[in-house]
Amino acid sequence: MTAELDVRRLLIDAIPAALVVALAAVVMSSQIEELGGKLVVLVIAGLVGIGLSSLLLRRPSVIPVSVSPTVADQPTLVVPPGNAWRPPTQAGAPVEGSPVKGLESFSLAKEGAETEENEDSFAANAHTGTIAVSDGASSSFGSRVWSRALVDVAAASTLPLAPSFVGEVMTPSAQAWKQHHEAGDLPWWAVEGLRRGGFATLLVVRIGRGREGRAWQSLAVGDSCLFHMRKTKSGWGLVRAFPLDSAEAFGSHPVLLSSVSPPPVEGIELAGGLLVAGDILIAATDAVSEWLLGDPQRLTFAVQAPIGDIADVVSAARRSREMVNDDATFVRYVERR
Amino acid sequence: MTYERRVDRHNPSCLVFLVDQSASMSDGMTGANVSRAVAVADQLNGLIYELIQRCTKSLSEPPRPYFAVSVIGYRTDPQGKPVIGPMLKGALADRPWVWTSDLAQHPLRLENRQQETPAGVQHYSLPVWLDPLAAGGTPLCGAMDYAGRLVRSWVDQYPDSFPPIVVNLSDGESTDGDPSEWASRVRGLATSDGSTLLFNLDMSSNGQPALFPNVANSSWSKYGHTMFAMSSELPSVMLTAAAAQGFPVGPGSRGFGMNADFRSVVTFLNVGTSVGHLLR
Repeated sequence: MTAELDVRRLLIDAIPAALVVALAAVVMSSQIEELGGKLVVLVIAGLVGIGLSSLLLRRPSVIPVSVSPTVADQPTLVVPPGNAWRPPTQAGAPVEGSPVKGLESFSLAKEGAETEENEDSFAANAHTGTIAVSDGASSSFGSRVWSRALVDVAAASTLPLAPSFVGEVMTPSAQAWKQHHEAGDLPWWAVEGLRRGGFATLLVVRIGRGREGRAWQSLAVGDSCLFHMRKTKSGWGLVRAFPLDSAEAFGSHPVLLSSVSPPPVEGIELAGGLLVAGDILIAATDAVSEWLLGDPQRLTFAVQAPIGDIADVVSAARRSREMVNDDATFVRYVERR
Repeated sequence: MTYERRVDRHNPSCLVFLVDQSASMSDGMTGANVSRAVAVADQLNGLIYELIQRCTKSLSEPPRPYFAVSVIGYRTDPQGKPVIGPMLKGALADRPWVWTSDLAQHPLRLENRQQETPAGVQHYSLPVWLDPLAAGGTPLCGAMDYAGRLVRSWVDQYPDSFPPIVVNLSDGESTDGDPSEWASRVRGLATSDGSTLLFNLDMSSNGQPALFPNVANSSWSKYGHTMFAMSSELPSVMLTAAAAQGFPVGPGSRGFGMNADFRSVVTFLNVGTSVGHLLR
């Protein structure tokens, strides 16, 4: 009897969830410019669908209704002085990844560029709670292929996030990059481009069980960033911005991984933090990250607004030159109760 | 803020290369057993090569038209009359501007070269767009005038682009007067993103080598000092790029080289995230 009821309950839950999955797939096919393959789009669409369904059907109070960044009465963002406050856990403490739900994302090519010119890549493995974001350097050869290879390998990996992780991801990624470019008679500029290689950042976030409970751990090379946000009585607070924590820290010369060179000996950053219910993690490439750090209200907006609205605001900010016209990738995770 | 505009297909920028073809260029260059004309041609070919690499994205598409390029030679004929004009040959002949995409497709020829590496001898093709030429005098004022007209037409057409860059490769011994005033007029032409940048490489046969210095060196000739003074200071975005590549630059560093490898100057151009390296 109990089992029968459970099945019925499951079916009742599954019907609206399936509808939302279908709706999300349609909406995302127009909003998500490029996620490097239909499979990833479908997986993410499914996650969004499940997330939205649980949001809409069961937990209407978890995320407040969207507010525009110009609305005056939105909560104030509390930024600890000098970002000195750190969560009471060791930075980079090992986290055993566990399944995540509720990932939302978009990735937009530069204004005026075609979708297939987007050099940012994003991949997630919902089963292991692993998210990977990479920003291919515009001035290098085959950087789109390189960033895609890096995130695919990184998201699929269950190896511990340690400096050695970078080399373990780079070796198969470089192989994939090389294979992609194997061709017969190449023009001189392609031969030279292949010799110089592709370059990209890498940000990996793993969500799961730490020593002291729910936690995240992250590895970063370059300026793709992770933001850990928490709601307090006085509004949303930035717990941690990693690896860069101010808009002034961004430049045109981040540490990058090369498709034709060994892993860097310096510039591999590790961090971690404890998660409590309602916390939000945002992973983003440099232009969005710099923009988010430029004004606390933008971070508040980024945790609360529907993902499509954030994509619209990012596009508008690039057009108005409030943000650098760069590829823009944004991934949001909500820690459920 | 100036010099912030990122160069892309929708916001192209331009470079004017002025190439000294005077007979003075056939004197030997300090420390090198090649004529200065050959050294200048090598520098120009290297600059175009680096520029095209900045515009190359992937195997699936040829290098992009991020930059319009003008290669202007200057010398005098046997009667002493200035000969100033476009000097690319073949498919690119007689055009005041060519796009980087055209340059990539139409080098004059590909030369087979080889390089010793730890992994053994590597063979590669080096594109050549320009052969050395050395004849007559050095009408640098006339060349600056020519460059000024080109730049003026560019800023009229692309008033919001990253500012034009004029790169003069010469020994600086102007035979038609003091080029300083002409240079100042060229630098005065601006887009909404900043004034035209004038960079000079001085290949005179004496003088302490220097790259992007912020003070003149007493070992330089009078013309070396003039060329240094004519050169624009590197804007902060380029200073940052130069520093990231390990060049010892600081505030006031100028786009000036004395008997130096000048090819790196185009790797400071902002076409997005820079990987900042110069090879071969």
